[in-house]
Amino acid sequence: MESLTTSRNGFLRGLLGTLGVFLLSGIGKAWGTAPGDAGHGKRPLKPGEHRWGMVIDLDKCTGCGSCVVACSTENNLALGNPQEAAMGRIIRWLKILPSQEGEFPAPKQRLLPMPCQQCDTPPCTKVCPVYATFRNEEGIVGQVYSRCIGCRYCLNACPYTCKDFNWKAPVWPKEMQASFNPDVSIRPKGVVEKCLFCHHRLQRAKEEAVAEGRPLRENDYQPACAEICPAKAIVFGDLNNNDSDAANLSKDPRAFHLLEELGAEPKVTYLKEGA
Amino acid sequence: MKDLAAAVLSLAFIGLVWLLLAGYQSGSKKQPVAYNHKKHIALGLECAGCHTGIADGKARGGLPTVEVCAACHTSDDENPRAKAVRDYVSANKPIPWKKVYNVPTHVYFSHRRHVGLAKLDCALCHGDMSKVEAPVTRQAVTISMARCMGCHHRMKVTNDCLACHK
Amino acid sequence: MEISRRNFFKFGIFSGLTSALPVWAKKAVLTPKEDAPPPMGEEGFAYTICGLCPAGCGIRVRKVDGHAVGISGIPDHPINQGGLCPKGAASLQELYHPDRLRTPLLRRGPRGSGEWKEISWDEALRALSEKITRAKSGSKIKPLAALTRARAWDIQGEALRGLADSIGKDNFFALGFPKSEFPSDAYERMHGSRRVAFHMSRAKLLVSFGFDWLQSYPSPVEAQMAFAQLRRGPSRDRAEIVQIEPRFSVTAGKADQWVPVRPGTEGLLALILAKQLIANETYDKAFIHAQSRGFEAFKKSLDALSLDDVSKTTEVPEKEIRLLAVKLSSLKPAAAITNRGPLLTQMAVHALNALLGNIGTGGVFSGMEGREGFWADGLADQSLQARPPELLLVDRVDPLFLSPSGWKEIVAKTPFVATVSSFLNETALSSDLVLPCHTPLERGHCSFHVSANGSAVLGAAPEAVAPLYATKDPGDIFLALTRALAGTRVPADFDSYVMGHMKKLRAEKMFHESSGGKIWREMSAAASGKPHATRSGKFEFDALTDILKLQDVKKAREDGGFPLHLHLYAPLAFSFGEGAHLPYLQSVAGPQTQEAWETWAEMHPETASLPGLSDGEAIWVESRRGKIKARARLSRAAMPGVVSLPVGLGHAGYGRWAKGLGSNPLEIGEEGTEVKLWKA
Repeated sequence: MESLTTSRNGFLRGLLGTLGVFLLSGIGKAWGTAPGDAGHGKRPLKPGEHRWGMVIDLDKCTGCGSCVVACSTENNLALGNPQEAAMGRIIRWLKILPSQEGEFPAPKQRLLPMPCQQCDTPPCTKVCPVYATFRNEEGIVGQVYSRCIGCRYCLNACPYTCKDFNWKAPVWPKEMQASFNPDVSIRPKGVVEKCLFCHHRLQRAKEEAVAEGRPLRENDYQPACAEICPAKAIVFGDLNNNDSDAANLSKDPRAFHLLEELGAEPKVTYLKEGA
Repeated sequence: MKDLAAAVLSLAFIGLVWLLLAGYQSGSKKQPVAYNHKKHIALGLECAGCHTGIADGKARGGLPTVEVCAACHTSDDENPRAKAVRDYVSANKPIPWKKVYNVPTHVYFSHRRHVGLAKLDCALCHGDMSKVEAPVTRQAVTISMARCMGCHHRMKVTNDCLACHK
Repeated sequence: MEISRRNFFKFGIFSGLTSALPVWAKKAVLTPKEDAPPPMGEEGFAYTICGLCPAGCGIRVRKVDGHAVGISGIPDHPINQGGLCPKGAASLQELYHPDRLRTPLLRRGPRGSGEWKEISWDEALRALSEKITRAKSGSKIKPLAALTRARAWDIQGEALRGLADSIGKDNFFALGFPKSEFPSDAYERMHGSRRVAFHMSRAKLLVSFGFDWLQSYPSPVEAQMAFAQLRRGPSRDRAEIVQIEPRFSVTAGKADQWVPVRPGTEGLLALILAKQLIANETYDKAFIHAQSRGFEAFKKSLDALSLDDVSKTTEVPEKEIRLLAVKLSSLKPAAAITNRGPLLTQMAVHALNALLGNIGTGGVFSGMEGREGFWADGLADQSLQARPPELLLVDRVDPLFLSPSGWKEIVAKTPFVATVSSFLNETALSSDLVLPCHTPLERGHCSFHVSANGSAVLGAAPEAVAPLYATKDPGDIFLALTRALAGTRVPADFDSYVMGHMKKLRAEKMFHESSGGKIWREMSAAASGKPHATRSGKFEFDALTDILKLQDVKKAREDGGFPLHLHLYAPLAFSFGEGAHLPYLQSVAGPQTQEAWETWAEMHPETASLPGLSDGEAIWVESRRGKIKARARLSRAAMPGVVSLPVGLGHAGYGRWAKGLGSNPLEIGEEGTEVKLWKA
């Protein structure tokens, strides 16, 4: 065997070998601590489990943008600046997607608030090499920043472009750091982030419910966007609960999903404009 | 033979480095007051009495504020070893404890859930403090994600990433 | 290989480094940097009134360890029902803005040079009261003019009015934002009162003339709520919305029909529609006969208008005009709305409402007796231009930004200008003394809010968070000045002043009840009284007829090298001209083209082709008054011949995110101004 120290090839092999050991241990660790099979939506949910979903009524939505601002404040989103705007790199977990058809004098416009669609069979989780993004037992597609290696495969795989990447470490003036929401961590440079249906509010709501010895109620857990919408266009709730508004509205005759044909089974339902 | 020796040596070195650096310890921390847990517990004090966050149902257990110590260590107390705490009490300055048990900022750990609701014993994570005389400078039980998840697995509690990661 | 010392070190260091790397990285990323015990996480809600605009929405501020970390609406508050507009949602950014004013500033160099001397409050108040005293004694011109923001009554404005009253008369002015206001000038002349109750949800057809009401409305939250009611209200009767506007705005996009019209000609269109309704005899004859005065003269004055001429001037095809008239007479109740634009437009549009018979008890418009309580709005620049004061005191409003054409001159002619503001905005930059005040979250509230339909709410709440810097409540400043000038007739401190007024309103307990979230008291329900407070007791057409006689419909279009028309609009993010200082608002300013962080000039590709402009190019927009820079945005939905620019950007100060960003189109013109474009 070539000596490890006396030739370049040997040195490279030694280096690769060492790195290989650590890579393997890393993947092994990831496998070892992966929470079951819920990541790719193959395991059916047990009855009684929550399945969180959202219904956005486009006939009520006015495109005002309150939901975007509320989400940004709640989740400590990076501020943005003109340079980032020009590059399309401003991170907003909830985006108002404009689409225009036709032209003067009779154009048509649609303003569509688009959070992460929280798919039941998410395309993004299938491509993550390190299990940083996964679908949990209650239907929320999670994102763990400390595990993310910033490969951006998930960003690429998402057909709705719901994921954002931190090309730079976000910068806040010292004064504004006082208003960080302590329930949401600050993302470092090099990780992907996305809407998580304000699951930190679910963490707290569940704890409150257990402390008070009662089940979780419909209005205990509402994401910031649903809470702030002045037109009450966003309805959030447990799709497994037949009494919830979200579950009922998702079966409305006006209901549709974005890119339904792709089979991602998004849990964000839209109600179309018009009568 | 020589290569084998080289390989063994490097593995030993690697092992040494891991041993020294693993876990969330930042090395030894010197506390401002030489607090003796054993003495105080022997007097009948409970964890939640001083670490008020637990009784208040908060996420953080909390390190005792100077008001807590002032309840007993007034200026009448003449114990020379309690002088340090008496100085803080009379100046009404917060005691600058060095926090030893830390979870990373991206983790949500709630004492209310674990102690208040699940009724777990403090010693499970913090060790049996009734035997500890020296001030706390290192974690008695290393706080690591693997440990948390191991216990969650044994207790059949959720191991969903989103339950703890924020 | 030997186990030589050299090899030992080589190997050891090599493997040590490679093994230490992931561990070190793990520590660097995961170990928290804190040493001192972090705060306990004391949590709670503070309930208060947003205060960023005159609407008065109730907000819930989530506080952790004394810091405000979250904002939401109060769920059962009668004004906003738990919702908030984007500005309210972003109010934390204003509170913790890094460029907030922290100490009083005295001008050192020439005005506008940006050279200031930081002085104490004592010095500042003393200097100002000395200046006022000197202005009072002697001088021929008006000693003091006080300018505040047009809104319903609030305690800070009351303190300012008290100060103004103690110095002179007719010296208290309010600056409004006409794009977001109802046509109160028309209401005054036709109803005899500046306020008329507007029950939007009663309309089955809503036609807006140049009023982008989803984005610019006296109360933004109310507009969004009203829209949701119109579309998906409980009656399951989806109302029809028609938008007549030069731009395919957000409202036009959400409407059922967009009628493109040349900027500034909406009034003409309303008149020709009135003529159609009269000619087809589809107007409400009963109402006109019994409840109006001057109809015959008005009808006659429309003789000069021909469908052909108006169609050419407004650029609305004749067929569309006819169809619109049919629509107006078929869907009942139908309502025509506009904002506070040119007087002719205001009155012409409102005349339609009389013809449509939707005025009266139970109608879309009804009286609002006794709900006044608004400060006098606008008209400040006209009277002050003629006679500038000795001293101008500006309260939390930016006239140099909102109305540069009039106010630059007034400020230049006024010897001493003092501004009360949280930021160094345009007016503050040109002032001689700047007094930093609390942001709305740092001060108490005691204010009156009237919705469009006349329902009135009294809001009272203590401060949500303790003030961050040595700023003062504006009311505190005015009271201190009044005390310095008038002596003991004024309460010793602002808190007692506020409590005095609360007692008068029989609302002392409200501050205590605020901890439970009940920070409002409903003073009166939606109005439904007699609509006309005119001398005749009827709807008056005369003012409209008079102004019509002076109009020249066939006015030839002056071109002179300025072939295009400027259309200005106010995005919701920059409502009332404010908001550009907050990064989150910059990001939602242009939802239709996902524009953000710049002034974009929307135009049709046809319009861009003549000066040879391409999408995204930096351009100059020039009028006879001046020129500004913008970025061209080509859109096939735009109306050819029109260039649309948003109002709200182009600040010379106002914090790091607003300073130097974009351009202020108000510098070069107003709605309808003729402009030309060329490459920058």
